[in-house]
Amino acid sequence: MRATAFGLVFLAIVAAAAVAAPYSVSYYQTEVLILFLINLILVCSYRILTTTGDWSLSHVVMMGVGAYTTAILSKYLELSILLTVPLSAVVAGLVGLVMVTPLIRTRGFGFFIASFALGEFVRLIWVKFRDPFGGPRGMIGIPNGEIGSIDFFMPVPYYFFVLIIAALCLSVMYRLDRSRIGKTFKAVYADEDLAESVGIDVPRYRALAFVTGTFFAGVAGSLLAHRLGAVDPKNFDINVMVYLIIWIVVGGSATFWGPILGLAVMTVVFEVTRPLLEWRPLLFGIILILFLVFMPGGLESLFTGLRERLVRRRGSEGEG
Amino acid sequence: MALLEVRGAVKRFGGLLAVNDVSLDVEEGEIRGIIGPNGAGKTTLFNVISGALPLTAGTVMFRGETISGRKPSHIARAGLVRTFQRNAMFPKATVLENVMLCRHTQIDENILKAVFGIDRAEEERNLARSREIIAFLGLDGFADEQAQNLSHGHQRVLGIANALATEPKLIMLDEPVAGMNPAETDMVTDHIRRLRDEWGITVILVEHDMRTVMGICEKVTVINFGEKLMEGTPEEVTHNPAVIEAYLGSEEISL
Amino acid sequence: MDLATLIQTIANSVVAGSVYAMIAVGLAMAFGVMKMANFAHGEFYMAGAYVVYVLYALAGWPFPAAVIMAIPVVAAMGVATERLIFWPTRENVLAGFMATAGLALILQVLVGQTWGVGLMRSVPTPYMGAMDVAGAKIGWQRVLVIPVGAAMLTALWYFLYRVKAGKALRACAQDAETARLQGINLNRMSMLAMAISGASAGLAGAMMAPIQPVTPYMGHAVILTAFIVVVMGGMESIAGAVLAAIILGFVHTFVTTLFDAVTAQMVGVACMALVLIWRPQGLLGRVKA
Repeated sequence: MRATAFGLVFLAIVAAAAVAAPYSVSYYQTEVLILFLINLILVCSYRILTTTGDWSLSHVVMMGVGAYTTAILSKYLELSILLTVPLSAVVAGLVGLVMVTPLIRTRGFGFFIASFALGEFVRLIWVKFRDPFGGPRGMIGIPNGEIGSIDFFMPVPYYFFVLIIAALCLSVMYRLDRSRIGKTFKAVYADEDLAESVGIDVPRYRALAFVTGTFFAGVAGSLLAHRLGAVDPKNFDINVMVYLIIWIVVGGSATFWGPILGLAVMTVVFEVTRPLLEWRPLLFGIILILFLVFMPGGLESLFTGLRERLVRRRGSEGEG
Repeated sequence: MALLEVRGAVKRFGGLLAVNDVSLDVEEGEIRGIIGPNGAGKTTLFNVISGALPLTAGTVMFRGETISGRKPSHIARAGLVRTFQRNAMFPKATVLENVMLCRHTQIDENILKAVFGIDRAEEERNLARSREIIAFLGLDGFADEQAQNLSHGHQRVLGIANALATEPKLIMLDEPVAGMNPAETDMVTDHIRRLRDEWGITVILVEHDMRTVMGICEKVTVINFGEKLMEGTPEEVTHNPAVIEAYLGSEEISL
Repeated sequence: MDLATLIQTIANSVVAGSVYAMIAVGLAMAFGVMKMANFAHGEFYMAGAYVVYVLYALAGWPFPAAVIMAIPVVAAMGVATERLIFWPTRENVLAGFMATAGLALILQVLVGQTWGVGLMRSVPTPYMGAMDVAGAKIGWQRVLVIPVGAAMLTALWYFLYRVKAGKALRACAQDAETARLQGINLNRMSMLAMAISGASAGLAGAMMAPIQPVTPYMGHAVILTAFIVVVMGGMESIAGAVLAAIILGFVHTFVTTLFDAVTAQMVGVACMALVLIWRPQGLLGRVKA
């Protein structure tokens, strides 16, 4: 009970801070916050895949599918942002469904490579077909979107729009993680043979995790496309994917909160190290290696370790 | 019609015939033992019946339906489940969570239900039934213990609990008492008998411990070099010269 | 396609296949022996090219000497990677793979900041002139890649099947635990595998330096191809990698000639997807019992 009350208070503080944030920072910082919220959806959607052990390397490309879908729907068909966001998610989910069919036949290292390759295939489609994807230079002139008289060209209104969507997506992903399906994903990872033997259709659940993850990646991509007003194939290449992996490795992926923590910390690191310019990827590479070698559980393992110690101490007090 | 009918089962690994033309009938309500020297192909036979490995040739029928060629999860849904020789479990989950996770065959799951948390009554029913299974196997004192912290004996019993969670008609146990002390062995033997007597579940067990097999099985099938050597009551089997030969041939004289 | 173009394309295919094979065998080897999945393998190739750029184009060494130097330099990088990344993360294939993605970033930045990012470094061609076959002109520099690749593969084959250390490596690839019980030092085998892996990538990069633009990001272009080759060949199978490399060399070159490079890449990926659907264990991969 106490834990729930603490959680609610914490949630209220986060919510209050999120609402107050754009009024106390500059426009530039609001843009950073918008990007943070979009990345939040992305990193949480990626964690869904990782719970089954499928560390796909195409996840950023799936975000790109959402972004390109939005670009086409809002630029050529002039659809409202209220339609482009869900439609982009559906298209990304469908592309995910097509990709996962061959992918499901591979496991572990084979899966990383095959997902990398299939992701590249999708990216090459954008490079190859100038019409309608704009070829290597991508597409520009994507509307920022508006609802009624609220124009999302200004960062503050758009920040609130993204905030609402992010809150919605995260709560759905959180419920999913806590649900029977979420637990089944982890069971598939923990012991595939046992899971299959007790009636869990392992390939189906891996596919479900993949498609659900790509659906939410599509949401993130759509929001990104509206903000940037432009998409290009380089926005979604393997380098960007490595950054997504860095967030989740730094934070950890055992709990729902790990990737969020990782993203928050690395966003701060990213902003603070701007003066390093071209040397910055070197720093991020070193951080990635250090975490994998010395703290494979990520930052969250500090908290889970602490909690376990507290529980154990409380337990021994109860006995004594 | 027998509950399980295996017809001419063959499993080949490259040049090696691990299971060679084995036919087997198991009647409903039986406790069947499968014995044989090390490497005789017992576990491989389990693997092909449960769908973990594809058959090279032959068919497996369960409750009058062909199940060979189906995936293990589908076979489990049809009511045939197996346990593993290793201590298979979800190590980080508690005993109760383990059993709950394995109740997949009993749940009609979809993503909307998961997200909106509807149908709590179903989860309640599952929880109640899981507790019943745990109590049946004498694990009720450990319900909230992490599986990885259990003793070896309790981990093996948890393996059986996880299989029972699927509500099987037929359960195949792969060396259920391996590595157990005599007291634990007696306890598990007793569980197996009660499974059949009280819950009406048919049992097939592969076992090395002859005493266990002879104590609870009505009928025993002997496998050697992937082939069925003979089949009969424990009495008949222990006195059969071919069986004694097979066991003496392998350095195992636990008869 | 006229005869000259056809011959030209076939020759280019063989050259491409040789380069892919040189790159991919190292990748397959490291994975086969100790499950080391090296994402920075493309950067090892890039490093080989930079050794030639620095020693031959800048310092004026003879081309063959520069190429030979690339072998120990990149082999040493392989050993360092094994010690600092793969050995500490050997329990988890994925961790090593991701950590080498970090290494790739580091190497790109270091090389880019030392020798420049913007302009492409071009290495002058040491062997001018071309072979004339039925009207098709095939540059000697390219032709040279074929015997060098063949020699490297033969040497590797000889090492793995005729030399004691090589046989030990193969034993590790078959079953590391049994190999360890037979007294094979896994620690040393793991280093040896990465040394060979690095050496072969370095040699490939060195040979390609005068043919390809030398940039800090040139590893990016080959890593995907190398991975596709390895997956198609069957992950741990060196012979499979060679076979898949030659197939992909022909596919890429012919599709590039007939259509364009982007389409060729797409067809390459499609080939891999087909292999995965039709034979998930790869062309020459073993099925696990």
